[in-house]
Amino acid sequence: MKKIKRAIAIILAVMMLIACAACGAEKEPGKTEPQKNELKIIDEDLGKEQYGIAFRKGEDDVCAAIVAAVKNLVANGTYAEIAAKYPDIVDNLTYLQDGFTAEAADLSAYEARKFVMGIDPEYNPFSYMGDNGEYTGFDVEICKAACELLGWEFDVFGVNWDQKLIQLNASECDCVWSGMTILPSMTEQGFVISEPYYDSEQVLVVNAANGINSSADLAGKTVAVQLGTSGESLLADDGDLASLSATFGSVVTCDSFLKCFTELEGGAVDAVFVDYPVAAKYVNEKK
Amino acid sequence: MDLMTMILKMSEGLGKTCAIFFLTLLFSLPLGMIVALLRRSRLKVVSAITRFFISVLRGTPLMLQLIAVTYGPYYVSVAVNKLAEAYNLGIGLDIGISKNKLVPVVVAFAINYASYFAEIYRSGLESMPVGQYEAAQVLGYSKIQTFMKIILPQVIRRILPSVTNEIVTLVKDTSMAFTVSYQEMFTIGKQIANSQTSFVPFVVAGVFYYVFNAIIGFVMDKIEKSMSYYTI
Repeated sequence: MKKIKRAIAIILAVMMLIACAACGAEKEPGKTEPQKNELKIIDEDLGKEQYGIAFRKGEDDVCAAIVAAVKNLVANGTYAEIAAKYPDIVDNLTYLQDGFTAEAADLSAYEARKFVMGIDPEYNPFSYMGDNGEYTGFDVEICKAACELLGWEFDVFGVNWDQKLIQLNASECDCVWSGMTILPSMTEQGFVISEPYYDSEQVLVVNAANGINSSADLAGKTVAVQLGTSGESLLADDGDLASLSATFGSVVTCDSFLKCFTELEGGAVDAVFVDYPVAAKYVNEKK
Repeated sequence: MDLMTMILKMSEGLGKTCAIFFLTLLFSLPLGMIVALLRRSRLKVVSAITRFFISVLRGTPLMLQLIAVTYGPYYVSVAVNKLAEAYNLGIGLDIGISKNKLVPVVVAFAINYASYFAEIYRSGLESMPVGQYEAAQVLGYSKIQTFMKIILPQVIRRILPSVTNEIVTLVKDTSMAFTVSYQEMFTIGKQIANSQTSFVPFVVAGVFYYVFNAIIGFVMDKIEKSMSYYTI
């Protein structure tokens, strides 16, 4: 009897191990292409857009103060200095285009306060966690410098990107400033939006080995998009690119763009629809 | 977007939520029994290994396990390929990320819940007095007969409330499948909440979960009643 029990126990243990091994094998999608992940950006115009800063309803004076302080930074050259640290985005900054001039304004009228900046902590190069564990990025550095000029106490708050405007409304932060695309729906809902400071566009990133060269090649394929981004709203049923997204096999939403890229590299999706600066930064870093 | 479209959109995701729920129960309930029996094995090695697995699965967040099961194999294969390339080993793994997210999601949920169920089963098994085994032996029952006919029915009756607890938790935990981009009901709710800057989808999600759990509570109550054959 004891021997039988022992044998049964061993058989069950072996079965469990086999089951575990089988679980691992299940995830092989049975594709044969090599795992060399050469990502590339498809050169195709899918819609231009601009980045801006969102403030709560009625807080026009806060918006004005920040914009004035940023323009002072442009005037005294700090803006260009900070931008030089981010070569992937420097060419598209509105304030650094030829012909743009900013005049230093008087900031003394604005009362000192605490200013909490709302960012997506995973949005390299605009806002991300630096090597020292502190939040950094182009937008964070600009906001910090602007608050210094204004004499405001500065703090950073990482929002859930898909709930950023709800969190802004709930006063968890005083602005959303993190490579955020200006959408018409934002002003419709009463948010105060700053003037645009960055020209961006949406691009498709694909695996170079898959032979996809245009959005037309993606018919029936799976496309990943980050939840809460302008890309998501463009591909939505009522978005500007609804007719394009209807040709896709399916659109999956991830909670961070890093997951979108991981899914692409792992072969779970065929393309990622993302803002150009983020795509450029990621693709260049992978090279 | 009016409330009706919102509810319709979210009910589309409800099917996927149900898929996680029922498949997880289907696999984890029997798997839990196997694990519980292995945990009680008299072979020290077997029980030690099972105990280790249970402690890992109960000691790490389900969210982490979901990520590990979904993306883990891919990252491991990338690391192995890098090593193989560096040392010219001439081997290459080709494991991608599953296109159908239901598979890794259910695998992660099933092994996680199996470890919880195993401990519940064990508590039931160990609550049975030794006298019953002895009496069964005297009456000429074989070990298997004793287990199937005498012990198991009593164990099931005793552990039912704890199992209901876990099942109710499972309904709410399905929302965690969002971490690996599985488009279940809560994910869709979040998408609507974002595009509409509205809190209503979360209320709708709350109502969905509550109704789901109320039904489960009702069904489990019925089962419990049907099993209370000792009370008059």
